[in-house]
Amino acid sequence: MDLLRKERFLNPNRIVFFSLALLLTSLPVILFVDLMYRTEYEFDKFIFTLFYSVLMANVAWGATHAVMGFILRCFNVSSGRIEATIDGVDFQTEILATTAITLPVYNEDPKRVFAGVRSMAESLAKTGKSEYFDFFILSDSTNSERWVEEEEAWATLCRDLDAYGHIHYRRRLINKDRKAGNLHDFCENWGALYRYMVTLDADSIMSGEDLVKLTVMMERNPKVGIIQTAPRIVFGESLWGRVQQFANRFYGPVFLAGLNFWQQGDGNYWGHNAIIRLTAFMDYCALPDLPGKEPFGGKILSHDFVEAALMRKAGYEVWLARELGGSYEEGPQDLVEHLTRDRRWCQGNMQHIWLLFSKGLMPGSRAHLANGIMSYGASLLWLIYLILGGILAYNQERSQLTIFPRNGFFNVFDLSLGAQAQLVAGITLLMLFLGKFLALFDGILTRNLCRGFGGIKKTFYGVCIESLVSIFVAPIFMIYHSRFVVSTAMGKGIGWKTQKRGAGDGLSFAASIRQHWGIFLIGTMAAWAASQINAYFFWWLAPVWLSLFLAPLTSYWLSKPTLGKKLLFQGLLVIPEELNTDPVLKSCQIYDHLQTPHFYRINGEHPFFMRAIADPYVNAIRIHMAKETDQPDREKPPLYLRYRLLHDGAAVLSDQERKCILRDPDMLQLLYQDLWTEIPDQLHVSWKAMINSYAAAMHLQN
Amino acid sequence: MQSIGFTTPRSNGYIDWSEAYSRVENYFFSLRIKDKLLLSQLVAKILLRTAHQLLETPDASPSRLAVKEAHREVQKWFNKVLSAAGMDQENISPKGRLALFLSDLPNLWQSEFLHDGPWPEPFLQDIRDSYLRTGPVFQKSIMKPRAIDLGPVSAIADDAWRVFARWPVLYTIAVWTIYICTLGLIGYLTH
Repeated sequence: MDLLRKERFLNPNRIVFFSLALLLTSLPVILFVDLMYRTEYEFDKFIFTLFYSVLMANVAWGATHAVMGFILRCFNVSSGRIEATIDGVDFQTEILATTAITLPVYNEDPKRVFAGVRSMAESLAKTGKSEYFDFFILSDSTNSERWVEEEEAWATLCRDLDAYGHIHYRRRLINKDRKAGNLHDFCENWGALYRYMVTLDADSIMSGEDLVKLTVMMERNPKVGIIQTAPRIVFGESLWGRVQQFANRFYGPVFLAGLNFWQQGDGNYWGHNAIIRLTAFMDYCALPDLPGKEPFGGKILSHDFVEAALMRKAGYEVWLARELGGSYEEGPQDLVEHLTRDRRWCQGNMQHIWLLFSKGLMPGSRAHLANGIMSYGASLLWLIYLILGGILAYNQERSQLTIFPRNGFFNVFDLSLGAQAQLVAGITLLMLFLGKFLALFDGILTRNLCRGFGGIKKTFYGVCIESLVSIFVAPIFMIYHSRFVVSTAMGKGIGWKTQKRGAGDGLSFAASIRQHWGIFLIGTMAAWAASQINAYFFWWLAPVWLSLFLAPLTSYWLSKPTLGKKLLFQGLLVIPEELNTDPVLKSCQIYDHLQTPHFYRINGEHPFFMRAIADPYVNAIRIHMAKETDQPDREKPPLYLRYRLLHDGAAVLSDQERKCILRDPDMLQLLYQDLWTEIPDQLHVSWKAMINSYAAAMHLQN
Repeated sequence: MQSIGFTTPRSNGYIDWSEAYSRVENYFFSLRIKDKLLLSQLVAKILLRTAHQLLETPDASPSRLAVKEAHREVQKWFNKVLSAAGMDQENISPKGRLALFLSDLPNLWQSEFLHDGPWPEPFLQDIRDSYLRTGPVFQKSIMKPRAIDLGPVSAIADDAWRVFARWPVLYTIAVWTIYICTLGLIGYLTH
């Protein structure tokens, strides 16, 4: 078995890839070791070198993906694509298997969620294959307003698309094990009815054509357990959102080609926009608890990587379908949201340390787990490396000794110590930016590629803006990620938060300062400490301390949609999806921005809990749902709530009391009757305003 | 219109009737009845009946009586329509409202609202077809996690974790040791 695994793992693709990674790591590391050797090797320099080597290996790993991807794309080399298995298939005549499209939601904006479902359902209908697909909106929403809104949106969607029995909605009363538990619950209740499951996020969109293609790929490849698509980030509004979507869209193809080159059937699962073979998933991918307590142990947070590893362990292949173009997601619109998401991911990835050495996992799966850990762990290593560099510089300055370089290996090139140091710095920078350069060359060399980004000149400007933003935010991320890693290791966990979608007006400057004042202080201290060593070190470290010092301002500007819009009007940071919009995206945008009737609003929001009492249709939907999911041991709401609700208004009730009312069909029916037949003077002013708002809404519609 | 002429002068005041009018109108608006002619006819019909009722109970509030009458009228109509569609009569009010919503009465069948019938077959078919279910019938399966052998490194870590959980003082000592060692290392490197 081990031998088989070795043979399988060390295929020609991987030998080429890992050799290149080793080469790209060893070149700067040898130069660095030699530089240290020439300046007299000591214990502290040994540690410094060790950190540099690990960090360079991590950077070179990423750069190798770009180099391999660039070569493959440049010379149009095919290196094993899952998409090739459906070349020449006539999809019209293809008989598909039953597939469930699952969409776990947790207090996300129902309008956006259902706009996505509607556009996907319509896109599927156009393929003529929609009868094979059922949608499942798997709600874990805890907010009573969201819950009622989701139900109304679902009922409306079923009605409008005549999709009764094809679009399902289920809300869990107890959110056991978060998203992984939500999907687990789906599998245990309905998994046996379907052969495949497409997993989506609340902000995911997939075209009907791609959903059909994925199903056909699975049918043609019975040994494949998961096919992951490469979702494109769309709907970026703020500068940060636009930078992210540009980077994902422009650099992505080169990196993904490199990734697919080495991983082949040893791929990874990213938790959404993927198709899964349900029998294999249910048999082998149930997640055990990790030793210890959360956050480091307990329930597995980042379930996707582990599920892919378990799928591989069971003998099924996991592939990346990087060429499918109709797979989309949204990204965070500001640094605060991005970091909140990273905090969650960091905790999940740190848990993978437990699994890294577990028996029976494929080497490829271990590589993915290690890569995930390093994506956050590397920040802490960079921070320690910079501190060590400061200590070395301080020691050198304090000793007031002149360095007399001794002969090293690179003397053959007749390099001075200064020139060698510059060469090391130059190569390190080159490695850091290699992916961006190669993607730009790829864009220039590949015909028409840059056209989708506004032409060669605008693409070049886009790369420059993105690189500048990356330089500014990298030290900020370094500090935050280091903090996340340390706090996870110290046992500080996080709760389950809803990701905010859309940029709104961006962050206020006060909010930005509140969020980043600590980083600002660190930047100030770093600048002061560097200035105490010497002027050279102060300026050498300037990109780091300046970035930290300006963090509140950077975060503020990056969150602004006005800046994003200005760049869009200039044709900068545009992506092909904005110049030639996929119909599925266009319809999602239209449905998302569709104006709802001008019913009563509080602070611009529709009070859906109140509508569940006053609106004849929303009330009827809730009563129906409450009856369908009624539990015999349900707590009955006390009668005084009825009085309080009508006379003191909904605002006086706690969320728990609201939920108690919403779960009781008899109470809902009574409240509806009472509200409409009560003497208006005895009702709270908010109810009167709500009742009168129907007239205003109808007059506006007429 | 004769009915309005009859009710207004004999009420407690025009304000009461104006409020009754608004409340009944709002009630129908909430059901998304947009057709102005239909709406005014329905409101007039309800107010006429209310006026008759008011003769028997002169102290009652016209607006309250009117909206109750509207509610009753809608209930009666649900009863008839659901019966004609062959649906059961349990929980008539929510079931009727749900059927109206799902058959999209406000946009497709507005003229049938509170109509005495007979109703066109496509309308009754839409009422019949409107059902809402959270999901298909359960087909229960069990997803049982398989044990994972975490290997020797994780096993040692697991043991250490258990020891720390049992004796938190050891955990505190370990954290402080790491902290002091880090400080010691920095001290060593800088001196």
